[in-house]
Amino acid sequence: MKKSKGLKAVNRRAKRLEEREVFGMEEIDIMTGMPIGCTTIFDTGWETNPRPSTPIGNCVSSARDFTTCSGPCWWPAQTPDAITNFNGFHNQCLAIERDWRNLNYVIKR
Amino acid sequence: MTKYKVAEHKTIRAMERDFLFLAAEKAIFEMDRPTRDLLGRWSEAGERTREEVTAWLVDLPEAERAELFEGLLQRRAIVPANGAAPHGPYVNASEAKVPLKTLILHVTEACNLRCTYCYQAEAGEREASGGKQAMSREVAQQAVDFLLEHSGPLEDLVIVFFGGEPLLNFEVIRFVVDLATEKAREAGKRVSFALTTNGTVLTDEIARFLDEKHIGVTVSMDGVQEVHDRYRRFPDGSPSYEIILPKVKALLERPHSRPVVARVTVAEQAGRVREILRHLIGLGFLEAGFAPVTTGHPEFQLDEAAMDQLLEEFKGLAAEFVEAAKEGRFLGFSNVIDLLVSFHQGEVMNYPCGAGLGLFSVDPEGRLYLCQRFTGQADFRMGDIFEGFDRERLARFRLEAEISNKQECKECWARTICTGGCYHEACVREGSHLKPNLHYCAWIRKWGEVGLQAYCEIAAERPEFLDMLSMSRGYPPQTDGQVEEKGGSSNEEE
Repeated sequence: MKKSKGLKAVNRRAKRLEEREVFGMEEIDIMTGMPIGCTTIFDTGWETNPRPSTPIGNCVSSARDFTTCSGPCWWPAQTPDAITNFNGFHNQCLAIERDWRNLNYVIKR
Repeated sequence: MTKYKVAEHKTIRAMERDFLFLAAEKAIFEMDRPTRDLLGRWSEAGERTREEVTAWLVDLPEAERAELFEGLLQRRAIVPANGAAPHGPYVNASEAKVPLKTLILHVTEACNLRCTYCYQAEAGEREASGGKQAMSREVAQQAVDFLLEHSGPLEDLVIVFFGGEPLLNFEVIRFVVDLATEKAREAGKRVSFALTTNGTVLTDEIARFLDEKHIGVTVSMDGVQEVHDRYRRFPDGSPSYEIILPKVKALLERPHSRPVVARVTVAEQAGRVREILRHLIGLGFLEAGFAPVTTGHPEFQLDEAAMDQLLEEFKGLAAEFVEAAKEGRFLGFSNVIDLLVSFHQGEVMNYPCGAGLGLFSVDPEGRLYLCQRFTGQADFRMGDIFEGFDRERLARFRLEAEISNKQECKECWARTICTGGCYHEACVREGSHLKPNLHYCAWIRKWGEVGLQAYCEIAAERPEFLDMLSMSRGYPPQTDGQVEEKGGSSNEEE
């Protein structure tokens, strides 16, 4: 759960909003025109992250590879936990922006 | 550039702390001062782009500006200015199969009182009861089967005994309790029971049974003697207070496994609610709940001045409740408890109540109706327990009753609190059960504000008390993420 400095959930509904996965695409209106990643589409024009969330302005795929993909979407071969069996990658990489170097090479053992 | 605006909201200042109520979400947050100031400025400024707003935050490091913005967006305190406002997790009940949870059994239509304000008498033409005023064991047994069959994955079911005066058919109540308990156990489910009575025929035997079988009891009682006896009378016109008082006292003095509460119909004397609550709690009731009488007769209706009085009384009791809660004491004022629990759960509903969704009433013949208040009215019949639901009529009701059909509600910040209000009240006062109860909108909004203030004051001072209240209404506790006590790190000014 991402804690905000400014707002602190008090009732149950607020706690649910706080836990809501905003990094996914489903709930933000501005995203509705965007194609959801899939290997059959090369999503030109969608190279930078248009979401008001980190990594701001970053390449979308870089963000999705690490934190969003877990199913069949978007370059699945590069999804850390779906293909490589490196299920615990997040233990070494608590904050992706900071700790991504710890991932080193992910080799299937 | 996408523009954003502050979502429809109310701000509340309580115990020198700031809270935010999001109207569409029914979510309540505590705000720190920079956020409060930002949202205040943004509300006045209207639609703004992210860049414009970020420029206001020059004092903050860049990372924190981003975090603040994203935090607000995630929590829906700000929303994209164009496009539909995001809303809560609405369910389209017309398509979804809604499992049956509650059946209200009119075990008899007979009543030994003739309360002059009773809506039962006003309902006019009732469907012919075939001379059967009382529910037979056969119908009762079918009702139990019907509930279990239609309960889907639900494990906790409810049977309510209603009437008429249900205790006039005590034999069938006893039969249903044993039968439903046994059948539910076989099905891996549980049934809990509740009963609403006028208290006139209570005996030691009945009281013992109610305790042993864990039956929740609601006694219809209007308070101090002169107020009670104004309307609650026997057919010969004689008053009922002195008859029921010793019986109710005997019931309350016994050990009881489930709470015994009082239900007060306010038909006049709206200015005596506080006195009445004290009287009823003094008798030993755990709680008392108050509702203005539902009637089409202007003679009984509360006029505007009386409704204002009622609000003042409620406000006074809410304040008393908050003071007690801060000390960890409980004051049994059902209306404020229900409101606080509804805020604590923050459930966004698109129907005002469960009628026609998971709740139906059953008349002595086995016919199904929207709820106990509509029992006997052909227009609100939803099938019967032998042939099943009238699916077509039910689907239409669910489609039509949904809040998005209530234009006036869309503009109201309190829509998630009342969702248009009681169907029966609307039917009587507004001419259709599908209309919002416009006659008490302003009242509900004021009461909603009182409730929000009370909620935030308790949340600031003793948040676990809100959990306790919710648990008393059957909700699980919300142990994590409580508002910290004063001095907590999250809300300190820097």
